[in-house]
Amino acid sequence: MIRWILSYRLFVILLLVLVVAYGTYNLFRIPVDTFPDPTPAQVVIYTETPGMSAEETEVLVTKPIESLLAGIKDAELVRSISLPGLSYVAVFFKEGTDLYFARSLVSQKLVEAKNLLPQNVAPHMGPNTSGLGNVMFYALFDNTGKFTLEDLKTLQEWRVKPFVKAVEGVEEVSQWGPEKAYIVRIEPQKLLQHNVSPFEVVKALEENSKVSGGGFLQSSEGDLVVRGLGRYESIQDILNVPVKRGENDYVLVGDIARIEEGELPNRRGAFTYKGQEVQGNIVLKRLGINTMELVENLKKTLLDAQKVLPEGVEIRVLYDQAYLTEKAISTLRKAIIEGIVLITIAIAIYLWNIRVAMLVVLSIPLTLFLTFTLLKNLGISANLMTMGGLAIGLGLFADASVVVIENIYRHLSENKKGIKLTIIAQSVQEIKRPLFFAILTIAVVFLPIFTFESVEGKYYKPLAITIILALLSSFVVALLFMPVLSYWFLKEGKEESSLFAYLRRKYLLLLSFAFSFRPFVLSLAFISFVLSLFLFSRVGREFAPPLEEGAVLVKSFLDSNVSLEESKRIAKLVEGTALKYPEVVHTFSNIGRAEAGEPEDVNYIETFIILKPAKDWRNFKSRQEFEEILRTELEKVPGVEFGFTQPIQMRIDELLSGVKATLAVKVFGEDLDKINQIARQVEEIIASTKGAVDVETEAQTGKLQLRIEPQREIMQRYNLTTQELMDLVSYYLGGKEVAQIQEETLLFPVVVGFEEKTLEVLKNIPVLRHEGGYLKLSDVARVYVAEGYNKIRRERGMRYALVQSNLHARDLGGFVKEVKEKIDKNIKLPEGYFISFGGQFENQQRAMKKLMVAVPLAIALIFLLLYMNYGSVKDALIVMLNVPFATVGGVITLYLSGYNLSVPSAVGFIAVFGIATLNGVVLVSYIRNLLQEGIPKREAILEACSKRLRPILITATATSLGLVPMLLSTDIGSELQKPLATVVIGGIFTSTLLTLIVLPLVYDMVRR
Amino acid sequence: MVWMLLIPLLVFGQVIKVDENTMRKLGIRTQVVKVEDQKLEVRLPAVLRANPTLSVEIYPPIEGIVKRLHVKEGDRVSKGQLLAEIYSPKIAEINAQIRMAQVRLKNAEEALKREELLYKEEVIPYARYFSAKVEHERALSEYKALLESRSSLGEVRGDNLLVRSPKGGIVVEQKAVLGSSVGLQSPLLKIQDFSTLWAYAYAEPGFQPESEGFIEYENRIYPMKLEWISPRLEPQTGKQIIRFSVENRDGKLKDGIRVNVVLRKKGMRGVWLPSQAVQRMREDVVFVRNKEGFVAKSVRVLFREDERVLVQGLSDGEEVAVSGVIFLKAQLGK
Repeated sequence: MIRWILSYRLFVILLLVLVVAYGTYNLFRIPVDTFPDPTPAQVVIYTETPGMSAEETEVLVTKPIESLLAGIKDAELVRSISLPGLSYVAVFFKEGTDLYFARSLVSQKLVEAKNLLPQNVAPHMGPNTSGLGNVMFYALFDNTGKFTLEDLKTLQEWRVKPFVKAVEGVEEVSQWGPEKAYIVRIEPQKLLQHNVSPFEVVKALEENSKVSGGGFLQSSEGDLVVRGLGRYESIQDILNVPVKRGENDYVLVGDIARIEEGELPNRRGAFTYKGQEVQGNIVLKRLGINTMELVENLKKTLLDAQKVLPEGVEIRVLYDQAYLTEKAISTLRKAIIEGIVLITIAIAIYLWNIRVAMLVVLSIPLTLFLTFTLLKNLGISANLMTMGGLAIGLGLFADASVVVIENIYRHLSENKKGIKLTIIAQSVQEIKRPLFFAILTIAVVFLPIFTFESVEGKYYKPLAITIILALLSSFVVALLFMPVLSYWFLKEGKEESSLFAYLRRKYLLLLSFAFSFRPFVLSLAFISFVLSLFLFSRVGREFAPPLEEGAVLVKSFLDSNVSLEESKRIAKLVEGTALKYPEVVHTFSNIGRAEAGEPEDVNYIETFIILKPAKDWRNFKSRQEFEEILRTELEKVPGVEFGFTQPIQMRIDELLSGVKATLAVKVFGEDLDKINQIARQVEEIIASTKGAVDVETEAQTGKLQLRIEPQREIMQRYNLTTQELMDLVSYYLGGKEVAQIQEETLLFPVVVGFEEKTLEVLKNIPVLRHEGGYLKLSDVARVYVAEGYNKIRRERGMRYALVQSNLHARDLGGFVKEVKEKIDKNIKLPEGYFISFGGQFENQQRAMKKLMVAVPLAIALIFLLLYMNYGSVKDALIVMLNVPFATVGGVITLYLSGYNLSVPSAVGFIAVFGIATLNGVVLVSYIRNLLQEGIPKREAILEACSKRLRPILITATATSLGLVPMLLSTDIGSELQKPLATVVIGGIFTSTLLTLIVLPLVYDMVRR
Repeated sequence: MVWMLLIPLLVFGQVIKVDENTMRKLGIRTQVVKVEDQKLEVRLPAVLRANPTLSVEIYPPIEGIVKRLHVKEGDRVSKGQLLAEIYSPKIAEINAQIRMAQVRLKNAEEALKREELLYKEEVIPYARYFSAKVEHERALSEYKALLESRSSLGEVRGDNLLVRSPKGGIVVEQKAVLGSSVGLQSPLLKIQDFSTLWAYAYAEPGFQPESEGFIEYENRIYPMKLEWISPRLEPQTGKQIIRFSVENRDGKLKDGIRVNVVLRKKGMRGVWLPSQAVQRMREDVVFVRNKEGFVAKSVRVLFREDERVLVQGLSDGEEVAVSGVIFLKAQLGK
């Protein structure tokens, strides 16, 4: 094989050129994405229930939908929220379910559901987007002062939206801002004077605006289309509508009302930019669409859309997810390049030969090219995790080539007389099998990662697959290209630099020293392992370190009875507080919900604070510090709870547990009052636990309602029906559309309302005139204010109350443990009630459970491979000693660095086990070879140690140095890899040390 | 267990810290209160009706035909103004009889004069003279009776009866035209005096109205007096009917107008606050400013009206939050 490769070396070179060319092509064409989208397969069903309270929505709408959907194929979990006026049901499907299939299943069920729901209530599916679907925020600004927010909304709706929606991959645009409408403001006093009932007004307005088609008519003029045009075209048209006809007289709408241009009433959201309300929009991407491409296309499209807008109206992009990707990818790119440079220097020093070093260095880009080609063709995008995989494995990828070239070089230097081609072929042949085995070992170690599920699976599977692909590529590069290149470029030289010879001498001295103090050295190793186990128990636990997004998101929870105006004031306050710092680029907030969708009300605000790059920060050093500053400043605001997170992090948190915080404690039970009461107790417990910040019990109660209950007895007496009364409520209070005004091609709704919408006016709405007196609304119905529910959450068909909390300077695992103990001690749950923990904690637990399987599995796989290789359990076990050796360093560095045991650090442990084993394999294989040649044991061991010192050191150094740039980087995107790098570097350090010193001792002791 | 009773007190004693700047940003505004005797107003829906004691219907006292009509519907008339002239055959007949009686009287007078002369010259006996005297007396009384009967019909000009208005007012109904036959069965006109109107107000049963109040109509105020509280309830709505008499100062009030009557209730001592200043927690509270921020203070609500509330329990000079109060409430509720 090797001979064959060498004899067709020209073809190999041609292939090399091809690989480089195609690799370069793929490098530029590979789709770039932020990071794997962790959104589980879910379908959301929204049902608007106008006028219904949360309780009614729950009973009449949410429950029937839930029960229908619970039995659907592959549905794992049904979660719901019932709000006044909105039901939100989310169905989570098994991982890997085809979403389009799931959606079609759900839509079939929805047809069925319609029959179970009250009339006029229609469920519909939410957009097919993911939790990370909010790819871009943009707003329309008016620079002239001529356009109102309603105008801007109209422009957005009719001019800009068609452009944006036409972009491939845009699922929906959520739009904020008031919708233009014409409002017929009725003066109750005039109604009385003219003896007109409100029913008559609505009826007149409806009946006087009709459009119909009359088919076609043959005439002498030709074939005519017959159109009945009764639509209102101006305010005057409406004012002239007759409401009531007397014997000789009629009352016009204009007599009892005036009409104004305004906004559609009952808006439940707003969008502010730097404290001022603007017309804001969020573009939602379709699932599976590449964010980078989409954002780029959107930016171009918005420039086009700008052209159709009137002068003075400007579209401004406020935030897009692509910036994060760009930053993260550039961080990784930087880390990779720096890593290559460091490795080059290290190898050059070890081998003391510039040609060798250059060849080795060349192997890294070659491996990367090959990997990119594989990734692209497998449909895997370049993202934070795949690129991260490349960055952390950089040293490993050089390893194969190092081994091959080092061996060729050594043989060339030792055997200066031989034919170059034969020497190369021999030396490659000699190394081929152990090399393949070594690569296989590392690759196999990453296999258990494929047992991961959910987010950790979505994050770390791409990482594992990339590393495995890159390792295979590096193997190909080492065996295919390196021998050929060596033939042309390598020259024999001095076998060893004097520096390294010195190092070797010192090492051998140390080794013989260790042999004489064997019990001491061995017990030292053992003690250090025990010590590391102790330290391990002291290390905090978390799911994954947060990704730094360069932005802060402030969540404001207000009293459930605040008005939109009051919410806007809070948004302005929060934004104003942040804008005081020059590090802030800009701020914007979304309050409540857009036209429809999000199950939020005006008492919830999300404020985005976009920060300048970290190097420009003066007033604070870290995001946490900035959050702390904001937290302190905002503490002065009474009646509002604030929570701090980051835009994407919040979405991910929310997706995983339905909660926008790190830790969610759910109190399940049937009685809403009781679960709320327990939730309050839990809140107290959490708030008193160290490390808890932003503790918040979601207010489920306390939403004030105005109830209008018809008094049937009285209604009957006057021949009034409930329908009429409810019409009154929905038209006059609910702002139901009665007609439309046509302006050019656009239709604007006409709604009715009263001059003032106060409780007193409402009670006195004249319902019916009667001889001798008239009836007010409060005469025929009970009108009263009562307290009701604001938000009813359900999961698996059970109601629950929610306590959420974020953490500051504390690990999640330990925190939860403490909270759990306190809850067990202090709260006695009634029968049928239970408490569960969710949020990031849920993931951490699940991930840790998986790791409990994955890590032993990785170790077992290593053992299996070793056994297959050596055919000796004893040898295999000796090599396996490297696993505890590696653990020692990994734990110590993890402890010292202050990072927690998280999924990335666990992946680091898995990786370091593989690398450490490799060291052992190299050594033990060599000793076995020497023993087979009949060399005495002790001699063989020393000889092997001396010979293999360089490859072992090179692998260890290269792998560690490849990680150093990542470890030292503070840029966006490095956070996720840092714990991994820490563990690997520490693990490699100790495992190398122990391989070189302890392993020979043990081998000597065990082998007879 | 006892300490749990103190929880409400603890909560209410809590100072909600807010600085000036935050207050401004949250839109929390305050008002310094002054305790005053407050006049309360109650508004009731009412309908105005013409005062029937001030209306008059005009019927001619005899059958006849309208010969002349001096007024029409809507004319304002004063007392004694000539309204119509009515030709009555009865008057014509009386007039004819009067003329006959006049002739008879004249003849009787002359006969009496001759008989008196003859009697004085003792040509005829006294009996004959006496009978002539009797004859004359009879003719005279007959004539007088006829005249009297004519004037009893009213003011007569020729054969026509003149109809004059007994009252000032407005002709609200014109029931006859020129040539109409009118009489005791068929009326001529209706005149209504609108100087005062009746306002029927509808209140909850058991409502105790004050004796005075006013009506608001088109931003004018018309004083009124309580006249009568009906012993019956309005049969359909079961409401108490109360009647007021309203002075129609400028003549703008009309029959059938629906208005609100405003009644002043007896004064109470308290403070008027915008309704959002008072929040219902466990009890009604307002937020009083102190050096550090606000404290909740419970108050008694005396009276609610449109957008304001009358409360008791505050003292002069206290500064009370009147807007943005929800933030304070939410903080207190935490």
